[in-house]
Amino acid sequence: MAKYMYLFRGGDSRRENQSPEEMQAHMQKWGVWMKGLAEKGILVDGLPLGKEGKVVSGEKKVVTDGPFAEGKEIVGGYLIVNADSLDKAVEISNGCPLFEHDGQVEVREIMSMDI
Amino acid sequence: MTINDSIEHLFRHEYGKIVAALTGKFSSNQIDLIEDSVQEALLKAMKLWGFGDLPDNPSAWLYRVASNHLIDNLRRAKKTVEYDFPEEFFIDENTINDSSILSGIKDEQLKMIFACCHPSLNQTEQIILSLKLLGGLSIKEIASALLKKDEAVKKAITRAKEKFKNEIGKLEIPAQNKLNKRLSSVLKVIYLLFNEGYKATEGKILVKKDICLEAIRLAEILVENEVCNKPQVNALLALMYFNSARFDARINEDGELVTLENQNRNLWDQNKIKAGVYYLDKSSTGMEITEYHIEAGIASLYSTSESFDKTDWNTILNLYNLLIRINQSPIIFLNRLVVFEKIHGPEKALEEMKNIEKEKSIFDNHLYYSIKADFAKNAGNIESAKELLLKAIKLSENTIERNFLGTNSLIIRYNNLSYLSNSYLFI
Repeated sequence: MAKYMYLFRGGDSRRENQSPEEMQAHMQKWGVWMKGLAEKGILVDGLPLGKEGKVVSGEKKVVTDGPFAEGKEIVGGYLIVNADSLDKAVEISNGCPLFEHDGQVEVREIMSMDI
Repeated sequence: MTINDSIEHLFRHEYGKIVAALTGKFSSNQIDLIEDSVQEALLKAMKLWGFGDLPDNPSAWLYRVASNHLIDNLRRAKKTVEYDFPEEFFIDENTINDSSILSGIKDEQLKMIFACCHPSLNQTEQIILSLKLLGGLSIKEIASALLKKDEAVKKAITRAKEKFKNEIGKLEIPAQNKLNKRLSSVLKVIYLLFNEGYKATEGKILVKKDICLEAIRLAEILVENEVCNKPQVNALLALMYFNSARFDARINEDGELVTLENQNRNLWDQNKIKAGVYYLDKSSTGMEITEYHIEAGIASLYSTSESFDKTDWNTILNLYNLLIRINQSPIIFLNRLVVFEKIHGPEKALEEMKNIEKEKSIFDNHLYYSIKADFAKNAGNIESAKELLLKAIKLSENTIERNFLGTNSLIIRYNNLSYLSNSYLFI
């Protein structure tokens, strides 16, 4: 059993053009999915990320506004789940409503002491 | 409250409420930025609340976030020349839980209703704008409900909004001397809205329930206000409640239309019928009898009758005779004819029908053919009935209606295919 992180990207244009009714329906899908994960003890943590941010770079710690990468590349949120393997973690991610909006989920194992 | 217990149409209704509140505060010419701000707030809510529970007071949360977004947007648009933003405009968490901010929202929505039905807009614009700004429907949803193309609706909204921005300014309830006239436009829009939802112009679904409920919701805002709580508004509300009580009985499990005669009355929503009776009662004050009063009276007779056969046709016919003096529309004439036939039989009804055949527009109306078909069948002219029914099918835009008419044509096993329409379907 290990922890995996889901990084959510994309889906912005479809998401933003929804009617209030559609937004509510979409939100409810997330709710159902997340609740399901929580009930099975799979969900550890997760939250959306705010639009604005800053980037601090280099030795000189230069601060710029951002990130302003192309919409598809910006991470919109994250989730941490428990799973037996990377493949299992990928399988679990299939239920994510983000895919309806043509978004993307990056799945990465969170390293732990027990390697 | 968890997200999945969240109130049906919460987002859509909050959209309307907050747009109204902010437009009341910042004036109609900011409507574009206002809509954007509310949309942003809902997007934020969608993202955040999807991960967990709703906040204790979702309305307050949305209002606060939208308001702050709007101020940011206004600043960015450099329109601050007109606006001095004292810090109080930025609403923090503590302030927002003070219910006084939200208490005025019914009034704000009321003013918004009048604004959306402003005389500078034509009727289609009034309907579309009401659906967008008050109802929180998207362009696509409106287009689908009104059987129009997305592009056409988009253009109509743009035009309507231009007028809205320029002609309306500050939102307000019209002054006493203008109120009746303005109210009359509002009621027309609400009535048309209800009709659109009820007869469903959408290709597949016969009843656009949400639009009907939206119309009812708007009328209720009116009656809750002292100044606008007029008899005719109550009458319209009664009419809408009586008709919407039958929603669940109108379509069977196979998605087919069920006529009034064959509906399972156990599926009629008695609470809605009670509400209809309540409002009908409240409407019977004052000196004026309006069309809404008469239609509500007719609807109540249908809805409170124990069975189809026990329906009080005579009183209904009397009411139609009254109605036709106020409104000679062909549709009302047809509605009346259906009842006339019940009392006087098909031959007399067919005779009576000649009066309407002088009106050329009737020949484009599928209801004319389907009603005539019914009379013909009752009079024993099966061939004629079939022909007329085929004409009706050709003219009917609505899939479910077409199927209904079609079934009846192929298997001459029909039940009374009586139709009333525009005011409400005999269904």
